[in-house]
Amino acid sequence: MLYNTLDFAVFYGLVFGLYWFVFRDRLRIQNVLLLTASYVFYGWWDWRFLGLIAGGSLVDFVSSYQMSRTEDARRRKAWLMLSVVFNLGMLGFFKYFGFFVDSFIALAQSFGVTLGPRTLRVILPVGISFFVFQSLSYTIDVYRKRIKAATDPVAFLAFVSFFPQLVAGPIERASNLLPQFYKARRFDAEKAREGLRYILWGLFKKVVIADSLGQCVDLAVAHHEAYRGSVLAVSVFLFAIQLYCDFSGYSDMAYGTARLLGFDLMRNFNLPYFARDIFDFWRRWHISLTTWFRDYVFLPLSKGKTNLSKAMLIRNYLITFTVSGLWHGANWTYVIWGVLHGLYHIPYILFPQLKSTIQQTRPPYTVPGTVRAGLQIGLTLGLNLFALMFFMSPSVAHALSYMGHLFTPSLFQELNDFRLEFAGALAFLGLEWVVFHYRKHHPLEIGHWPAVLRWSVYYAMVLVILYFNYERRAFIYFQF
Amino acid sequence: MKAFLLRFLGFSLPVLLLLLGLELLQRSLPNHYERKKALLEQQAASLHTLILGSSHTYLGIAPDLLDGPAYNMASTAQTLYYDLFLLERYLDRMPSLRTVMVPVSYSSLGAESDRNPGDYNKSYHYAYFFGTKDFVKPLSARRFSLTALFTVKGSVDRAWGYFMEGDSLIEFRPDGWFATEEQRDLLKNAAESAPFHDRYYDERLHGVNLARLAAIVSRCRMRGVEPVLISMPMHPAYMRQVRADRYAYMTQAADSLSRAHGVRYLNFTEDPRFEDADFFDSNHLRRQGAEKLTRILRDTLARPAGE
Repeated sequence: MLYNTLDFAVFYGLVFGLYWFVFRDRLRIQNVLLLTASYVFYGWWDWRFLGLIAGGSLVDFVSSYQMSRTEDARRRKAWLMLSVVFNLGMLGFFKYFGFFVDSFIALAQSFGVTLGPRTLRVILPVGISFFVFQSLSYTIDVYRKRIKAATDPVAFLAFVSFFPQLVAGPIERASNLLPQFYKARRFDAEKAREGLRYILWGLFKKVVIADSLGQCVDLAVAHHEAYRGSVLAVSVFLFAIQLYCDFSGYSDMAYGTARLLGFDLMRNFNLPYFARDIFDFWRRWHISLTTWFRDYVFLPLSKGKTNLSKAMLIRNYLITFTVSGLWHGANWTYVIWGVLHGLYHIPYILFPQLKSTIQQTRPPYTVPGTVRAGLQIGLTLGLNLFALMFFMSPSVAHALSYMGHLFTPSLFQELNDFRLEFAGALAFLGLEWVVFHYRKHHPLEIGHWPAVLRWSVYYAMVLVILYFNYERRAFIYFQF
Repeated sequence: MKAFLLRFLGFSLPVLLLLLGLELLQRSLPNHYERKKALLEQQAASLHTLILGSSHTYLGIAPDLLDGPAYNMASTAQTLYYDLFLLERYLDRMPSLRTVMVPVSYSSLGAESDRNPGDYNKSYHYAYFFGTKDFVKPLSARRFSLTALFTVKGSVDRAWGYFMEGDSLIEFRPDGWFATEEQRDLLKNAAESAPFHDRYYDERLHGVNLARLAAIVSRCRMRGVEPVLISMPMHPAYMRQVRADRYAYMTQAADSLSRAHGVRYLNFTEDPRFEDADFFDSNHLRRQGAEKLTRILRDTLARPAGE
């Protein structure tokens, strides 16, 4: 069930009505409703995978509950291992089985050993990487005694499967989201209005911008031999905007739909294309995943030490970003994308003076500050675009071929395709700059405008969204 | 909360009214499947020949050149699933029927009705207009609303074309044939079409599609109607792009079916009588090509099988 479909509108309307009108002030029943709605929402794609999410949740609930009942370190570790093995085993089988088997066959072939083709095809359950990571972080936090184990199975199952963020995040931490299932929720009209604005802006980004640009990007990727280098370069930029609008659009809608139900989700994006260095970028892009990898991969690699040598820091960044690349998809293109991002950190580790300070990253800037910021933003964006050529390609060979056609003299020829889309993407970035400059979260923070003007903007956006909603593309991050 | 909901409903009402207006407008406009269905039902009792299939036969066979009343029931991206469905639904309403033309194309044996992308996925069109139930979700709005089926953009564009640009919205003639004089760049089209057909070709569907073909043949035989398997002419540029193993499978499968059931299989795929000027694009005929093929078909069918 996609957010931009009538199916979802009807589903959400029903859930909203039951939640606030029929079961108002009945917390436990509200949680049962959310759990049921979340399973219906997930089962809409493929009901066969409901067992996965239910099974994973129950294993994590039981193992965490058992951990909380003992102080015996070995027993606690054993329960943790059960959760980790179950979750990663599930992820490994459904997401990476084909990748590793195919890579092994290819490796054997390179040594002259011919193995038969893979016969088992495994279907990837939508959003598996998201809910597995969310559930896994809970058991690890219980093991580390950062949070208490849940005692209410309904609240816990609803937390793992909470439908607004189930299939593409944000990957919530139990410390933020789980307590919200324990507290009575009151309807707050101002929060609800804010939620609606987030939904509207998210839909606009997804339907109007991402899906429109996606048509150009698909053409450029599929038929890159037929385009000039300049068009291919612009297409990478269009993909960057498409990816951002698609994913952050989903996050905004998740935030908005959760807010209408009285929940606060974490923000997943903070104007990432205005990042001034690669560290800054990862503080702004897919924040819930970045912090997840920081807490559960990077910091454990550092073993709690804060004064690591530069060599160790580089090693840890490379490992973390390689794993992050693999998390995105079972394809060498994502691994290379991750490795590149790991490599991008090295100059900043070796020469810390290159890093912009937090104060410098905040607008408004002075004129010299703007020039300096512009150059830093441009460099960071350029590095991102280079890595995205792997991200957007179906295979490494395809990415190399794409680059082969991009880096030719035709790169400096006039843009003869996708001009309108390029202008639109630049205009969108300009709008984001205004938002960035005034330190807002999105352009629809216009609650203080006169009602006529405000409603005109809303109506215009609704009509444009309805008109553009014909592609019905799945969200890019659903495949992860 | 009441105030919030009232404001929300107040905001939504004009949008809902607009959508309702668009839906009513769509229902008043002519559309492909409704007209195809209406014309078939109108002519069914007198038909001697029924032409099934996808765009290849939709553009490629001219019913008025065949002997006796004929109707072209083919449509773009109409798979064997829908050919069988339509035949089963209408066979008993066609007492004079003598021949059913069933195309076997390079792509049809590996095609399924819900696999095509975007505009070529016709599942919900058949669900809306003919009541098919497979490949569609039972509660989808596209089964009940034309605006949802065509999308808001499609609905607005259709209305604009009809009222502002004089577009009739129906491209075919009363006998169901889409006769076009247009011609596209054959080489460029070949480079795009064959990979497109390959992309959505699934060899695991061979069995189910062969069974559908066999079912069409059996239904016809039971009613005393002659089924004729036809592979339509393709441009050499297209044939250079297709996968040899899949093409070989198509001809072998059609030959086997033909022998097993004693039906005619006419393969025009690489027929040298068709030249560049006969083609609309690399895998479809234009008017003159369709007329040429139909005359050949008429003459061939007039002779006893095997001659």
